[in-house]
This record gives sequence, structure tokens and C-alpha cells, in this order.
Amino acid sequence: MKLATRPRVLVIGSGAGGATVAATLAEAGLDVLIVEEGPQVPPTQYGLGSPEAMATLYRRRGMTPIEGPVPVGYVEGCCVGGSTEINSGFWHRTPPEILLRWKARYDLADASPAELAEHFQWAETELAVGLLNRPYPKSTELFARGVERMGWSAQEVPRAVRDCKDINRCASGCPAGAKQSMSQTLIPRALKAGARLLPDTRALLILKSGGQVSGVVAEQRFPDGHREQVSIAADAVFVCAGPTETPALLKRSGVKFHVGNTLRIHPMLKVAARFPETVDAHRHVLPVLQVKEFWPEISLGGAYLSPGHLAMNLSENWLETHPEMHRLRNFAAYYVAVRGTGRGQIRPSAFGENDTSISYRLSDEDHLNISRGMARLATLLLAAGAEEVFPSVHGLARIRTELEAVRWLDERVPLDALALTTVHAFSSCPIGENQQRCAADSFGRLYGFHNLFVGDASMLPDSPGVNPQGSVMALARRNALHFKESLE
Amino acid sequence: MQPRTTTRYRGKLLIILGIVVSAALLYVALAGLSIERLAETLARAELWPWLPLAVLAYLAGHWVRGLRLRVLVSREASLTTATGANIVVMGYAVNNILPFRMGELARMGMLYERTGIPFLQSASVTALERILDGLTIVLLLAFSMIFVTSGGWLTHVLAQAGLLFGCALAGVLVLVVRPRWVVAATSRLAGWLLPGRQALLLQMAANITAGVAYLRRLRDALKIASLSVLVWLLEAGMFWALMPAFGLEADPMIALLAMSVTNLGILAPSTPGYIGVFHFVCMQALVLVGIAEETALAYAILVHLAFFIPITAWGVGVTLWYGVKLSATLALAKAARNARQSTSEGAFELRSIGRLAPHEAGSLPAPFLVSITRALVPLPTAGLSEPEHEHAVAQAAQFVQAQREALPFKLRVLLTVGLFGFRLATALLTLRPFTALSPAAQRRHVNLWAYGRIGLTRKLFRPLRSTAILAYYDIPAITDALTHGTPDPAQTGGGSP
Repeated sequence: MKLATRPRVLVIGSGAGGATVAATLAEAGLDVLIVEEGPQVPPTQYGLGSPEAMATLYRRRGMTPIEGPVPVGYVEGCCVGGSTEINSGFWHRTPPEILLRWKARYDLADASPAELAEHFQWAETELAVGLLNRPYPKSTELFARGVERMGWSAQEVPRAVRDCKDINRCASGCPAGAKQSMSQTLIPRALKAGARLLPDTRALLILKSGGQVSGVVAEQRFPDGHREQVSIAADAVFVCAGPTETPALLKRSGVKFHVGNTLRIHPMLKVAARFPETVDAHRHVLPVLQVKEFWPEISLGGAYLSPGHLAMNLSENWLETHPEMHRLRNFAAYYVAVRGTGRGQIRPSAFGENDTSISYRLSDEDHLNISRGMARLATLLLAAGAEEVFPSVHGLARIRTELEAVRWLDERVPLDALALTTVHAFSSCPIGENQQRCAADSFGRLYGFHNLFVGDASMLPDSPGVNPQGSVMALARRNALHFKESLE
Repeated sequence: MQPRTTTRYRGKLLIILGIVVSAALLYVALAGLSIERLAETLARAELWPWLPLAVLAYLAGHWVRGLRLRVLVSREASLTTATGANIVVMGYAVNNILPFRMGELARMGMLYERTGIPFLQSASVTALERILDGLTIVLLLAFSMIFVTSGGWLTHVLAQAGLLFGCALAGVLVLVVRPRWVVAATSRLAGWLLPGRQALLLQMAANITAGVAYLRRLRDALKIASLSVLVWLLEAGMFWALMPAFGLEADPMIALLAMSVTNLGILAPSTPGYIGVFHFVCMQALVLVGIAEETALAYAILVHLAFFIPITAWGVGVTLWYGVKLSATLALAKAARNARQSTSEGAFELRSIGRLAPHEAGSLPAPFLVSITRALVPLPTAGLSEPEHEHAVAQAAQFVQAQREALPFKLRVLLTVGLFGFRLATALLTLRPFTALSPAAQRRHVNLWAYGRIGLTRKLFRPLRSTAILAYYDIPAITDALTHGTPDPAQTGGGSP
């Protein structure tokens, strides 16, 4: 690929992937401009309640549902730092089994555990990834008790957090600066290395001619409310706008080869549990243990809880369960997540200014695993001492006994009764050498183009079965370094 | 003569030929007929329910064409049946309006644009579809001739069409069964004749063979064959449905015969929309089985209208919609190229294309939404005064309004329609507008929809109840009331003990 000796690299998006690409390339001496659709939110606006956080940090104020036979609630960040500003910070390296699978099915080159180790190590150092540095909150203790009584394997999941203050504000931006989100770590690092950042700037169209990209058209929003369309020339463009907006932007720009047709998610079912003792889960960090006994198909772990979120959990059977809100202090929230073998699509919506249509079809396997996962989680929580377990399933207000729980190992929860959510989406522009499946090569270069790349969760070939931030950052760094080497 | 002039000359010649053929066949069709009797026959035709049924069958056939296309490209791209049908219909509509079967090119282009499949591969898929169509029609013609008639010019037509599509099938089979031969042969020939273009020609050969790759497994080939047969049976359904309109016995074999012969006949050059050729050939097929000429021609005219109008309207709509979207994208790209005024961000130049109006600020929640929110959140609890509760309801309603405005356009419209239905239903039941009901009555109606047995109403209210409840309970005063005022470590700066 022939580019200028000091090419101008435009990075669209400042989340886990975009920030990694930007920091890596800026430190390598390239001219980097990051355009971020969302605002740069000052730390003083972090840690507010859910409604305020949704207004400032979330795409469409959190109203980005995934349509389908079973609708799935989905949220992603839309601010400088992207979804890393609102996630729990959980960190996993891509499991070796998954990397092997990616090699076999997608022919993903140079991505063995050994080859990715240095990139994971780099990210873990940058983000101070480690275990909770304080005693477990009650919600985690109870979960651990349940795990022990069931005899299942579980682990504390490391988090990208430095000196956690245990104030349970992860989902609304950490006001203490403890969570090592991109706005705290790689964005400042990229800026220090000479990169530029344009927040409130949404990329509308990628300008291209044949296999060559020349820049983008973007819309800038200004503090006084007015908007301006600008064109920005670049020698290379990395699209890191997230698993839904990256394919949407590419498709709007006429880049369609295997783009937006293979969305994967980790469908999740939330479960609240009431214990006889005071838990105060809404005041402490979410449970940090994950059950690995049934991985990769099923994962059980802890969920974020606030009074509002508990109420949402209970709202599927609200007429019966709303009095439980008075026992807020006895509640904790957990989840069942399944690997997600269904498939979804991302399309620019036919109507509405720059809307994106997201759809997903739950597979039969997902459905079965959700039912079984719910049964297992309920059993674990009851073994941990929960008085009652409240799944987000219409018509199933509470599970009181193990007998009631284990029924769902064999029976399936009716599809239309499920209230599913997810915070993990990926694979909408898979990378790999297998051109029958992939939109881009193993290093993120979109097929048919010399200088257009993907570098976010959309590039993961399929579901990693674990929190995806680690996989995204390792691959993004690897790809950015490969790009830099290709210039030499 | 210069090459361009030669091409234009040939083009004009073809157009003239088409017009001549159409005019000639129309003349032959009308020759010896009484125009008054023809008009009378047309006027007497019973359009209901036969014409709608015919159109329905024809449109269903195009839906199946869309399904077939979706299946054919399923290994390379993800296409919905609706988009597949739009692609096919757009091609047919363009054929109805423009000469030289430009619709085939339009179809290839749209398939390429919608899926990202390389253009030659799209062309290969389109060519495959047409060959399959031709083969299916030939087989159906042969089948119908067993039952209806044989001999004469029909046998001649069958033989010629069979030969043409048989050869085409042979070519397809080679591509399907031995793609490596094709690529190897291309490589050798290109290396010998055009060594400078060998890589390009190889790429082309690979794309062409990829276009027919779906047929490599027998099961998949049979699936495509079945869909092709279904397509043309539905088209025959259109012919069949219109027979009773003229008092003819609805013989499916005659319909099959007429459909096959007509569709083979329109392969001949003619005007766009196959004027003349369609009428003549269809008429002759019916005359062959003993139907009177005026009736046969009247029937052919009606079939042609059913064939021409719905698909052209559908296709023009698709073309316009698609054209508008494409134009908007091209206009933006063009404006970007022509932008002059610029600012810089380091090494990057930002060129201003244009200034846009600010987004409209969000609106306050209407009384209706406030009432809905009040009905969704719980009644005031101990520890919470009435004014505090009302303030919380107002805050929650504002949040609900903002969330509603943030929904994607399609869902916003659906929600608005659904809430209109709710208001209408409650007004009909109570004979009063929702906002005029007592809070208790409002709560009863909302609960019925939000938590009742009907899944659709629960789905409608889910975003409203989730957002209302979330906002309400995350208000600090509400949380305090629930936790009886025990201090939050986050506020006091501490963590867990």
C-alpha cells in the first residue's frame, strides 16, 4: 500500500478500539485526528443518576432497542471514550478456544494466544487491570457462597479499575476516576502524542473512489446549537464507531461486502434476588465473580443495581412485585448471559435522519441456554440463601424453591415472556482471510479498499463468549501496528 | 464510421426494428377483427374478482422471485426477500419502460449496490436467473402441450427454445460442476491472447463462477429449481385467473400454455412493455385451442395490463426511492468535493460544506403523558409527601418524554400509533378522554394494557413503563424514602466497611 510518508489517519470513534488505534498510531509519529460523535463529558457530570447519565453518555439516551421476534434492550456509549465510560470495566483475554475457532472458521491470521499476548499485556498495563482491591461487597459474598455450595467453578473477573472506591457509579461514568476508561487513559495519551480530538462530530459518509478512500463528510455540533457539515480529507480511515454504527456508516457509504449481516450479541436475562440480610447492592460495586462452570454457552455473574434498575427488573410482573421495592436494601442483581449463536443485521434505517435499524434473531440454542441458565442461577442464589428470586420474565414473578427453579432445565421459558438485554454486541464486520464470511482481512483492512479499516467490536469474527473489551483492544493495537509497519 | 457512431446507429436500428415488429404484430393481431366486437368483449369482461386475483398471483410470483434471489446469494450476502423482490421488480419495470432490456443491467447494478457482491458476480446471478426462467418456461410448455395440443408452430417454438436454453444450461452446468476448468481455461487463453490482462480476466472468471456457486449441491439446486417452477406457476395463475373474466373455462393447462408461449414470444425484439408481441403471441396461443379471435385478443389485452401496470408502478416506486437515497449520497459527496472554506485541525483540513439548522429542542410532556406516567409509577408511599410525589411524577414524565423522542423514527411512529389506539379505546369504553378520568380509573386502564394478557399491548407499554419506573425510583427523594434515609457511602465519600 502506498501512502504518504507521514499519512493523515482519521479515526472515527473514541471507544476501546478507536482510542487504542489513535494512541498507537499517534505514538508512532503519524498525524491522527479522532472524530467522536458524542460529547466530551467533564468528570463533574459523571456519577449522576441513571436518567442524567443516559442523557449525556448513552447513544440515543439508551433507546437503541434490538428488534426481532424477541426484542432485546441494548445500550452503548456515545461520548468520548465510548462504551468504556459506562461499562463495568470487566476484562478478559480472548479464550484460546475462541481464537482457535476464529482461525478455523474465519482464517484469522496471526492471532494465536502467543501472538496476541503482548497486546493484551500492553492494554492490561495501561488500564491497570487487576482484581478488586478491597473486601468483597455483600452481593459478591452471597454469590460466592452460592458458588461454593453448588460446587461450581467461578473466578473473580479482573477489571480495568485503579483503586476502586466501591461507589457503584460504573454505569454513569466513574466520578472518582478509578475506572480506567478511554477518556482517562488512552485518549489523553493519544492527545499527548499529538493526536487531535473533535467531539460532537458525527461521520456521515466516507468519501471514496474505487478502492481508495479520500476522507469523510461529518456533521459538527457547536455549543450554540448550530450544526455544520464539513469534509475532512485523510490518507487512511479507521472506522471504530462501534458494532452498530460502524456497519451503518459503511453501508451508507456504499461499502457492503459482508458488512452488517452477522451481528452477534450476548443475550442476557437479569435476575434479582432478595436475601434475608441487608445487602445494599445499590451502594456497592456490582458482583465481581463469574461462574465458568457452563462456559462458553452460559455465563452467570453480577449485574449493576440501582433502585430504578431493580424496579425495571421487577416491572415484568409489577402488579405483584412492586411492594418488593420497599425491601430494596435486601436485593442484589445478577444475570444469565449466553454466548449468542443467533445472528442479526444492521441496516441504515429507511426513515429518520441517520437512524440505524438493528435486528437479531435468537437461535434455538440461545433460547434453551437462557432457560437453563436461569434455572441454574436461581438454584445458585437460593443455595446462597436468597428468599426469593425474581427473573425478568413475564408471568414468572418469583422462584421460591429449587424445585421451581430446576423445572426450567428441561422446559423453555416462553419466548414472548422474556425481557432480554445486552451490553455486548460485535461481529458486524468480521475480519479474517475467509472472504466468504469476512468483510475485512485479518488486520482490519476492508476488502476492496487500500486504506479503509475497521477497528472496534464489529471486527471480532464472532462471539468471544466473554466481555469483549480486551479482545477489541488487543486486536486494535495489533492492527494499528501492522498498518504502521506496512508504511515502512 | 467512428465506433461510437456505429454503436448509436446499431442502437437506433434495434429500436426501429422493435417498433416495426410491435406494429406489425399488432396489425396482424387486429387484421380481420371487428373492433366493435373487440371493444364489446372487453367491456363485458367481469373484472371482479378475477382481475384482483390475477394481480395478486402475479405479485406473489415476484415475491417468490425475491426469495429465489435471496437464496441464490445467501452464501455471499444477506438479502431480505423484500429487497430481493424490489431488485427483480425494478428490473422488470425498467424493461417495461426502456428498450434493449435495460432492466437486466439495472437489476445487476442494484444487486451489486445492495449487497456489495462484485458486479460481474451480480451479472452472473442475474444471467442464471434468466436461464432458469427460460428453462422452466420451456418445461412447462412441454408439459402443457401433453394435455392441450401439439404439433404445428408450437412444436417449432418448443424445439427452438429448448435448444437455446438447453445450450445455456450446458454452459451453466460447466460453471457449476467444473469451475476450475473454466478458471484454468481462462488463465490459458488469457495468457496466450491477452497476457497483460490475465489477472483481471481470472478475477472475472472467478466472479462469474461464484455467481452460480449456490447450485453446486444437489439439494440446493433442487430448491432453486422448485422456486423457479413456483414463480412461473404463479405467473400462470395470473393467466388462469383472468379466463373466467371472459366466460372461458378456467383450464389450468391452457393457462400454462398461454403463459409459456407468451413469455417465450416476448424474447423477440419489440417496444418497451412488449406491446404488440405480447398481444399477438398470447392471442395465438388461445386461438390454437379453439377460442374466438376477438375473445382471445381481448383476453390478451387484459392480461397485458395486469402484467404491465402493477409491476411498473412497484418498480418505478422502488427506482424513485432508491434514486432519491442514492442522489442524496451523491449530492453530499459532490458538495464535499466542491467545498472551499476551510479550517485546520493540525495536519487535517476541515472544509465547510454548509450550515444546518439546530436540532429542535425537546418538548415538555403533554398532560396525557404525565397522566400515563402517574398511572405507571406507584402510589405515594410512607415517607413521601404528596407534593414530593407529584414532583417526582413530573420529573419522571419529562424523562419519559425525552426517551420517547430519542427512539428511532420507526419505533416512535409505532408508539404514537399505539398510544393513539389506547386513547381511542379508553375513550370508547368510558366515553371520556383519558386525561378527564380519575387517577384511579387511569391507573386501571393503564394496568390493563401494560400488564394484561395481550402481548401486543404489553409490548406497547414496555418502553413507557420501564422509563417511567427507572426515572421515578432513581430520584434521590424516592430512594431516600425506600431506604429510610440511611446514608449513601457515595455521598459521604466512603466505600464498603
